[in-house]
Amino acid sequence: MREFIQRVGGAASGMVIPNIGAFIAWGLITSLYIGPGWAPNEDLSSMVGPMIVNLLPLLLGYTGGKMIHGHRGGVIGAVVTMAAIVGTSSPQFLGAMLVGPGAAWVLKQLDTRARDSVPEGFEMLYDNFSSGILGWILAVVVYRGLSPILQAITDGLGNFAASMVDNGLVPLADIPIEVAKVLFLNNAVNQGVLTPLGVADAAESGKSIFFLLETNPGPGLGLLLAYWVAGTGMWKQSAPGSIIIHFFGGIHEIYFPYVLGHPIMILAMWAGGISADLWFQVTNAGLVGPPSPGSIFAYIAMLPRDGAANVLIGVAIGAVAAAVVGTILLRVRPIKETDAGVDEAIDTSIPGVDV
Amino acid sequence: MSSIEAADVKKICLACEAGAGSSLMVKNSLIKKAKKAGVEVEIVHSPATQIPADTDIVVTHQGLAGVAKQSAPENAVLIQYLMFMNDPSLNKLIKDLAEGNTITST
Repeated sequence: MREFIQRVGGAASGMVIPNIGAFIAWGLITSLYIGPGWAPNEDLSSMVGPMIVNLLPLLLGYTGGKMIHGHRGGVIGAVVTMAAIVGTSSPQFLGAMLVGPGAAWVLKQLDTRARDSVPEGFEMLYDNFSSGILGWILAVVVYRGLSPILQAITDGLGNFAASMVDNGLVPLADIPIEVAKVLFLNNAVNQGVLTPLGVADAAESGKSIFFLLETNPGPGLGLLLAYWVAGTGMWKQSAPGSIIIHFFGGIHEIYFPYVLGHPIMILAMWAGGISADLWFQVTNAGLVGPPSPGSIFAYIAMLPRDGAANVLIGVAIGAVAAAVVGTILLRVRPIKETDAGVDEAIDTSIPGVDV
Repeated sequence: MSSIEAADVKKICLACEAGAGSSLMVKNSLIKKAKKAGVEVEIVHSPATQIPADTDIVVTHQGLAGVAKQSAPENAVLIQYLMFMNDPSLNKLIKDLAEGNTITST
């Protein structure tokens, strides 16, 4: 199950991550030029809508197609994504991630069957028109058949997300999120679920709390601080270096072993994550775009003018809560060398020893 | 269990979930270590689901070993690590390469 989610999540993040630069450009344009932005400008802010509705889904659809069938797959993926875009009334990230690779897969099936029997000299004619005609057919199929379903799914997800925010349930989402993160489902959760929700949310209100849930570098910082203060051996020694990579570099993976090696430390992550999310919820905090990677610098770049301090205070709350709980846990339940898994790693890496 | 002679190792692939963050970081630290030890081998990084077909050794975190195994070439040796910095199994890999030992999956 975990591997299945990792595979699906890997595919989703494989479509999103190569395009994060475009998301960040969109976030910066939004945070600067919209009405409540840092430097409101009506002309320049007219880019915000077309970018989120057209550009970002097209990039995802293209990249998804390219993953399946190279550049040809990317092109047909973008064509068919266009049908999902105009067939629905909300930003179609989910649609793009489905029909982009899907269309490329169909073209790949056709190519593997038909390409060998194309007569000499007709290759270019085949290449151009197979892609063009199939793109036309699939676009019509998606527009007529699939877009009502996509609309229903995005509406359902959007309503679910909105009702979580309205009912104050967002902090509860932290419980599965922290567990999923350390199981290396961090990108699946963030790029696959929360970033699309956040972009749709931010398109309406200028900022979104969904960008803050998985990416907050505060709780991880607190955990590593706790190891620095109360840890032992290599856990303690490696903590300062890990803090720099985690908090400033935004590579959250660096702290996962500190939880995996001593699972009770998930309590510290929950303490940090839930208290930070409570603060974010109460103060109506949000970022204007996805902070990727989850570094404090990415956070600063994506701050909204309205409520910027609330975001930074939430990061600090998460760090303090995780550090306090983590330190107590390490004092009460010190990490044993056998808990560490490091000895194990040394043993199993001896050649010829089957474990 | 797969194994390979150090002399036959041409390509090492660091795999992480997205192939953008931690694998790139660990790759760079491994390249530095290899250079220091005088080991000449190509070291690349990729998502755990898209490991290049000509990879001799796949290096990945324990939490991603299952996915990496499925997408790795059949004969590739799989090295798992726990810590992202100074993990003993990474240091051992470089040592084995430098001394020409046999390298076995962990």
